[in-house]
Amino acid sequence: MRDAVAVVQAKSVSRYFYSPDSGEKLMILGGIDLTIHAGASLAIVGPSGAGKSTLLGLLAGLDLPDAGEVRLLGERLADLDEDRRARLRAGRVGFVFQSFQLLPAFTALENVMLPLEMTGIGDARARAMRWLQAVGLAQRVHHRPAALSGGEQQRVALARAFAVEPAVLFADEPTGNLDRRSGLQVAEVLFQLQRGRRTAVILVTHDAELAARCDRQVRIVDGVLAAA
Amino acid sequence: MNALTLAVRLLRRDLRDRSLSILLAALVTAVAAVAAIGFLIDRTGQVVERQAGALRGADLTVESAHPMPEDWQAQAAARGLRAGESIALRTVVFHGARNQLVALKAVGDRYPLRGELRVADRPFGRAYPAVGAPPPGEAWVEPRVLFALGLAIGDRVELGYATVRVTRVIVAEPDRGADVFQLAPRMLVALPTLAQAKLVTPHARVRYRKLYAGEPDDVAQWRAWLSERLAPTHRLQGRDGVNREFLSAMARVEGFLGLASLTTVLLAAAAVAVAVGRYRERQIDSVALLRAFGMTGGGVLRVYGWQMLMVTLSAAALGLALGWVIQALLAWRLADLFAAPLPAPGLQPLVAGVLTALATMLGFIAPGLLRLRQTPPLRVLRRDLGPPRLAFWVSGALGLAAIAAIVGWQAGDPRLAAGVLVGVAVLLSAVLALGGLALNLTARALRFGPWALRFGAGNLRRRAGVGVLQLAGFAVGLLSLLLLGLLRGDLLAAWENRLSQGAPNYFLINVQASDRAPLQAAMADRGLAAAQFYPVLRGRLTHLNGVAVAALSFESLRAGNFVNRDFNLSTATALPTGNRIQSGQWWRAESQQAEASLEAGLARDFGLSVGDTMAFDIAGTPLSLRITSLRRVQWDSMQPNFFVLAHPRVIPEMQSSYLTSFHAPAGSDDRVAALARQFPTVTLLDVRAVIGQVRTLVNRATLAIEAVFGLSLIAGVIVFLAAFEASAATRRQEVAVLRSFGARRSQLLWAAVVEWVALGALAGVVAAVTATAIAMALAAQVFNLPLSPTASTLATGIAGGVALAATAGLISAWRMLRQPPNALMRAVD
Repeated sequence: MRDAVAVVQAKSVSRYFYSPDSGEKLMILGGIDLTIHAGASLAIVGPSGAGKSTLLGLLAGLDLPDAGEVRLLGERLADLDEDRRARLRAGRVGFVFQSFQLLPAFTALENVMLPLEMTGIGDARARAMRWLQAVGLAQRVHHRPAALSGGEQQRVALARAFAVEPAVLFADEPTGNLDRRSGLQVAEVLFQLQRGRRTAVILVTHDAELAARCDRQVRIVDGVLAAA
Repeated sequence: MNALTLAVRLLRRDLRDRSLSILLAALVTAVAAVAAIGFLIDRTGQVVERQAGALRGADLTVESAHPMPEDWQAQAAARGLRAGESIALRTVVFHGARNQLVALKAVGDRYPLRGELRVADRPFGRAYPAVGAPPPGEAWVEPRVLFALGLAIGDRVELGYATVRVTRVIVAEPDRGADVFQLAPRMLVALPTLAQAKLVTPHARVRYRKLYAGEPDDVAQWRAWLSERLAPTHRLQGRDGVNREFLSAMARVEGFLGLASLTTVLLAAAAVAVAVGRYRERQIDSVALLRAFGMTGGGVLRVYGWQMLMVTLSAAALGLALGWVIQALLAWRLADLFAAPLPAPGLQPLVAGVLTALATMLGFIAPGLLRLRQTPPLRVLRRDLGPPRLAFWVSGALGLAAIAAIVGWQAGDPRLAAGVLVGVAVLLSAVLALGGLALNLTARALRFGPWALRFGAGNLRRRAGVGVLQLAGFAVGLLSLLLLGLLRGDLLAAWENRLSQGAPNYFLINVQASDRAPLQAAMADRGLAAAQFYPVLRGRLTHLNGVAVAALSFESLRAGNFVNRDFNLSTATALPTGNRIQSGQWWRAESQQAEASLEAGLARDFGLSVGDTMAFDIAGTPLSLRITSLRRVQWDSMQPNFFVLAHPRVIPEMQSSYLTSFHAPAGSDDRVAALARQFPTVTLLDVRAVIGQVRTLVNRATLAIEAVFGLSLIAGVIVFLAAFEASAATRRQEVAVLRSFGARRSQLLWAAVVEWVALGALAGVVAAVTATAIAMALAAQVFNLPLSPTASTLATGIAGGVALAATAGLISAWRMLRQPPNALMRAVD
């Protein structure tokens, strides 16, 4: 716990799935309580289908819980409509996805510039160049994702996520699609950037090694928090 | 599992994918358009054939100066045809001290075989259809005979060795057609009466005519049988012989309907071409799995072969059913326009529909799908691998070949096919060659302003590959719609103008020079305003370029016919309305040359062009004219039209009569009758029936044109849907990523709008320019209508492109934006 300010808070968060055939209510997440402070890192671990990614989506405001409350950067997400939640994220929240989600028609540089331009941060090009340099891809800035290896693509995604210097970064299995060597490289870059910028990081992973590098781990089994 | 079962299962699963639905919808629309138009043209064509027959009194006639073989009538009867005959000559009839030259026609019992002979019991009395020929000993006459001889109905006149009683007045004769300029009024008798009169002597100038009517196939066979036995002096006439007004209008309708079905096919082909890429993309994963599980390349080929066959056949079946329903609805709506029920359509449109589906499949879908067999099984592990792509020019060439095959076959008029094909080829080449550049330049031009604008514009550049495809699809779609819109609006407007309430419905013919001024005054008194008086000279063509026509032979039947009959020549100072110069130049008023302007179609028949000379014999006086221009004439303009116009300078010394036309409003029959009575030597020609027919045709055509236009519009929408589908996957990912980074809905909507508006506007410009060029060429060459390019076409093209693209783009963007980012992310992950 580095700083006392809570960037993300979940109180008794539950999410259900209603079967379209039977109308039956299935619990995906039940009564999750969680707090992450500024500059801290948290790993959410657990078996497949436990609800980890759903929790990540709820914490990031990409979706709303059926019960309970999520606060992101001090704002109660349930009070905000879709666009206000987007405004809240813009420039303050970064994302890294398991499948990278780089836009195929954009060069590495353009992918990194995208959130900078979108949020109106000036000097987008120079900043994006610096971030690509920081992840070790200064020579590949004009390449499109298809010309990059998986590890390189994920490093571009990291540069894109950190470029806006977010208060909190959400990562969904950031090394899940990478071989061990690339995974280690990506993890190295991730934590290096996180420490340098004092960004809070919440990541979902199966990778015990990656989870161990976080300040804290929580384990989810069948939708509820278990002792890590 | 055999290939067929697997193909069925895969196809059923693929039906959930929008790209297959779009392919199917496009094919179905193309087939429906081709079939509906085919059925309709087939059915109405048969009726039109009959209507043309009605204006000739028969489906087929043979005319000769000598009696024709008697056994023809028996042969015709044996072939299921009805046969009749008539004999015409000029003679003088007497009543007391007075005499009058009449155009006598003796007809058989079954006259007329087609159409109606309308008679009245007194001059300008109520007209009713007559059945059969006048009874022996009786004569029916035009009112002029009564006026000239001072006769009343029931009086007797001397006709050769016979005395006949005048019992009825002729109001309308079905086969008067080409003979309206004859000076003598008509007298109609039965064949036995003519025999009794003994007027057919070796020296008499007699026209014998055989008339035939029957089912179209029988008539066609009979025509073929006759053609082999005709002597050079025999003149055979079918649909082409009479009523240029009606046929000219009909040709235009058929041309337009052909164009409309053509553009629908084109639109559908564009939709298929745009959608097939994505459909194929989606198949690659399935094929890779099948290959990984051990299916051979041949097996893949069989599975997809079956699939393509099933898609083609089901699209053809659905399209034919839809086409049938559309034409049935149209026929039902049109039923009141025809006296008889429309005949059943032939089978040819069915074949046309299936072949359309097949050609589209072979040209656009098959080449890509067949290559799927080369999908490497390793694709299951490496997403970047895929089957080899067809070179762009190969697929382009195959597609164009397919379009060319359909277009060439569908468009009855080769000029129509050529115009559309060349236009589309130019448009596609321009888009493929310059589209990328245009998108880049647009992106560059929009580099400023808020992020949403820059992002949307930037996508034009980043997605230039698929963008060019979308641009091409949009442009072809807009081109077709604009082309139809331009010609449809123009066609209908031109007709409406011509057939407006004020269009002339009476012609006054054989007005002598001395009668001209009194006639004008009498008309003015009665509130009947004449249009323009055209001098009419009757003359025989004697020489072409100094060579006697007797020494020439003509391939064209029409040219041959013209040599054997009198020409009507007229003069004009200015080019008459409804005429357009095709080559050469219209004369200046002060010209001292004996200049002539010839109708372009006749010039073609005679093989004449500007600079050639024609010599005529005008009542014994030779007249030589040099052709200085060729004209295209709108025969359905209902205005007096002439094959040969001469500079007014050549006429003054010549004796000529005059011709004019006027519009008599409803309820003015008495005034018209009084005029005819006052000028008994003037022939009054009532063309209300012809106008009515053309108007009926226009109403009928308008409805059919609207229906086909509706189909084209549907095809146009499918093109746009296909274009969106082509980039839907990348867009979905983009929206998902951007929203997770905090992009607002309004920003993303604006970005989408900017991108689609730019694409739509670019496509609009290209389409408007091409559509104008094609429409102008077709208007001039095929439809014979004046059409000048206007800025409004460009504006309509751009506005239409922008509106369609922006609306559809917004709808598809909105669908994505409605979902929470998480759902979207899962969908693309």
